[in-house]
Amino acid sequence: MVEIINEPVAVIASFGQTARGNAKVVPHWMQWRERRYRLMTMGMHHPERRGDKNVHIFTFSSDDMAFRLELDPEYLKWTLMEVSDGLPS
Amino acid sequence: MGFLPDISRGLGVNPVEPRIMHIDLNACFAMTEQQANPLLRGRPVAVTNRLTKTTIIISPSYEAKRYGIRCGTPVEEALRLAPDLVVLETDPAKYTYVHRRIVEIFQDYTPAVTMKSIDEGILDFTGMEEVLGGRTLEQVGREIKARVAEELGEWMTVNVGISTNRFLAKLAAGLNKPDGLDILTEHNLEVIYGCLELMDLPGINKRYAARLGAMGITTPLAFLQADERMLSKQVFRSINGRHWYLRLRGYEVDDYGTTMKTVGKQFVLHDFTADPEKIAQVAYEMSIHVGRRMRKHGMAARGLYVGGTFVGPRRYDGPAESMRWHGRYLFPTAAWRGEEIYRRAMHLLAERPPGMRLKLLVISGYRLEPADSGQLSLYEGEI
Repeated sequence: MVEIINEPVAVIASFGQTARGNAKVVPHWMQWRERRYRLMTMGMHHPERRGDKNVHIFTFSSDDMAFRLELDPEYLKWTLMEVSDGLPS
Repeated sequence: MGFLPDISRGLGVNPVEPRIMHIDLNACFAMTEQQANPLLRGRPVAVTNRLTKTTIIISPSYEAKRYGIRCGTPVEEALRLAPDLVVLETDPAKYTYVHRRIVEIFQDYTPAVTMKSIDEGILDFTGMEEVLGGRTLEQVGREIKARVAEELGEWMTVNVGISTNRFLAKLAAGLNKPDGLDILTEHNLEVIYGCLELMDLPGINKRYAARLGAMGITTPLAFLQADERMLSKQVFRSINGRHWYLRLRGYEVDDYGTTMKTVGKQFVLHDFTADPEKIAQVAYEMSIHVGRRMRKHGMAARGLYVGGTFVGPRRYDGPAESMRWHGRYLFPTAAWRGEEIYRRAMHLLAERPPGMRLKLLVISGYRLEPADSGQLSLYEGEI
């Protein structure tokens, strides 16, 4: 089941480059509602258009939850958009 | 269409080295969702346009296919077949990103890339021997598979088919789904045809199979062995017979370009309605979308088609009456602005079945021409 959250969160991430020279951002930890989650399995990172700018969408899973994180590159602001347990609604 | 051989004395299978590669993603939308959400991997997942019971599945995962769920299965039926099915709404940004990335990967290998759809591409390596640098197409295919997994995610797999023409390359790509890589040449073609049914051939549907069956052609091998004259004069009764004769033997007849003929949008309503205001609102949103797409392609449409499925009042003794309706009109001027398309669509929609609830609406512009100026027509507003 997918639940819409849309709340700002604190994220520890690393910034680097891929072997082909593209920018690479990897979130590792996320703090949400006073609890820390280790973001273990990376799902996908893709850009998404929001008006006149692109935001970056990261999908990750922890032990039993999957998260959809959004990074606003202009304000370097992380927002947790959705959580999911991977089960049917 | 490239060089076509003389077939007057019969023709064998094309003996040239395979240079066409067909690549498609497996259950593209569902697989992308499973890549994005690791908790969905290995579970039956299906993607639909909207989370309602009245819509259909547009992309089932391989796990969902095992339950008998196919493209076009209604969501309600799919949930009956697989109660633990995870149904998700489409996420176009994600699929567009995947499409863009696979095109980038393909273009690293050859400039002759033709995308047939969002998840299916043809790579032509004809004359690319120097670029290949001694590598075989099989090695290139394996490298592309590895790069897709590395750059898009480990759950993303592609099928690769290699042969001498597009038809056989596509057929090869479908032989060992998911994650296959197969090569069809003159040496194994008859063996492969011998293992397939007629309907396994891309482009052979029920009607074609029936036509072939009527002439005693019931297997791909019999199709291959059929005489060109018989295919042209008796089975297909057109140039299609000759094209099939060549296609089956690995000669290229499908390398033609396509042009856009229509620009349209289809929408299934969440709540069926007969309310004119609500119908007008849906038609407006769709017209704006169609206009935006036309401008994106620099096109304008003189013709407008409006169609829909309408259902009657709810009944307690059975399903409500359902009917299809459509109207079309060729206007004197071409339209590319959403407002004008909406005005024209409403003019056509005035003839819709009275009192019936709208279930599905299609608005589509045809007779496209270049939208060469932003000048408004003096005749705009006139029908």
